[in-house]
Amino acid sequence: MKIGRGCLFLTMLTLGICGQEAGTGQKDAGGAHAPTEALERGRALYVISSCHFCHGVDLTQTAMGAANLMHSRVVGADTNGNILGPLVKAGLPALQTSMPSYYEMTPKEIFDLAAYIHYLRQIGKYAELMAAELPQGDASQGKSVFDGAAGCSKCHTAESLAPRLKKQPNEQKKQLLLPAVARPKEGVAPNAAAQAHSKFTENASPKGVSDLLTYLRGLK
Amino acid sequence: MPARVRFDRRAFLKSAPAISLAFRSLAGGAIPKVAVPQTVGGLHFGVETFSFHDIPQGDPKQLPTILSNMIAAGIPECEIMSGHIEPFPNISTGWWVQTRRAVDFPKMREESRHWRLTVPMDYYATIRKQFEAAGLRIYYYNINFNETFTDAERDRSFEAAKALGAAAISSSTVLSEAQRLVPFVEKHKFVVAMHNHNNLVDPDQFATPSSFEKALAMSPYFMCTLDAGHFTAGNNDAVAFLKEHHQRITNVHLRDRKRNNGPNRPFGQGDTPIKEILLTIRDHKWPVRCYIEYEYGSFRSSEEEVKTCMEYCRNIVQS
Repeated sequence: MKIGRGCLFLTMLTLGICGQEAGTGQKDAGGAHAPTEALERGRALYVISSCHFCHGVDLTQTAMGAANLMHSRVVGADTNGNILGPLVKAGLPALQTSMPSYYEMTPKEIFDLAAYIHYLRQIGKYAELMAAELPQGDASQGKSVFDGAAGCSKCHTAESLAPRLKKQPNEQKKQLLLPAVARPKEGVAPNAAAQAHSKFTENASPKGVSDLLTYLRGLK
Repeated sequence: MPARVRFDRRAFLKSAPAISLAFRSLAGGAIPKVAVPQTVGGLHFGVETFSFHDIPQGDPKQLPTILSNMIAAGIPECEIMSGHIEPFPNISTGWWVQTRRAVDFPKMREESRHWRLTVPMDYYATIRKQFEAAGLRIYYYNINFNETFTDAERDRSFEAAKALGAAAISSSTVLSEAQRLVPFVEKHKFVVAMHNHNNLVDPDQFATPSSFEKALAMSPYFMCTLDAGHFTAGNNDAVAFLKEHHQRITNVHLRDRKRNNGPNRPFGQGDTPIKEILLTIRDHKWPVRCYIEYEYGSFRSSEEEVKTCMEYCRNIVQS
């Protein structure tokens, strides 16, 4: 799908004329501006393809029976559009009000679109998890998370992380989740570590966070 | 459940064109003085208020914004969707089957039903007066009948449509529900126009010429709201259907989708034969009304985009 360079250019030009840089908190009909050019490309795709119409500018809308993308496990399992791409191109024609088939989307457009959706999920999940009251944690479950699904042990040892935990529970949550929130730098693609951290935050639950912190606290 | 009404086929074939003609005559005689031109190039243009989807539902400025948007775009009439009239979320009405799985859906559904059955008709009459005071008109009431409706609710929906001053109901519904509506259209002598989408898998859905034809055969009070964009996305020929069934089409919804379930695009950039549809209606002088339904993605407001769509149509029919 050719978005129309003119459309994207006009968007960026408008931002320039208004003296606005992407990521300054400015909003338009497609939600808040994204902080980098790459993510703005993704946002333009999301809006011009009318994704926001059913899924919302923040991924949580479920208009016309659409999926809540913020909490979707399908989206959570996606990496760089490997799952989202085929789904978006095929659409869902058998629904009452179909999700269109975006069969003209190019691989680069799918990559940009997926990056934007994941960015919104990370921002949204971080806010949710920080606001959530954590349930009682289980250290053995936390060890399983550390060594298993979250992949922490690929780069860290729990014994090296534990002494660095701050005292306040909320500060501990921030330490765990904030590095994972996409704070993209212009022109810099996220490295493997950033991607792994981001995926954890996107897919974490209050119980999973509590378990992990309980495990690490036990090693302090 | 009401008993199935048996039709005398000969009487039906004789009455259908007459009902169609009567519907158009009644509607034509009741149009008030409007603030914007009633026709453009001889065609009656309107807007499906679904187009104004960026107005938050429940916002007290919703109706006044719709009115001002219509005037700004030069559009004198509308198909008003129930979501712009009723004070509860659209998902409470049971139209989208997957939303019925929500834990609180039964409670929401009962509350929406209770509201519909107890709201005074003055509520709808007041909305009608708002439009008339602005020199505009509600031409269709869009309410999506489905299996979660009770008969009392179906009945009341017709009363509501009349209180709004609508000439007909337009409904996104299914064939099985159309069958249930037959006694109601007969009782109220009121047209229900079936609105299609493009689900080609479920035979109960309106998506193909034959699905429309099945409904048309059930009652002379059934007509079509032909959504040309969805019809095209389902790889059907909207112009051919228009030519064959124009007497049973109340209005066309104008949107520009790509074929093969493709997305909505700005007018002129999809595969929907909008120009041919408009010129066919114009040149044959058929009283099929032309309703804009804006749904493609944009960074601009719905007011701006509906204006753009109307301008596109105006340039075609005034050529």
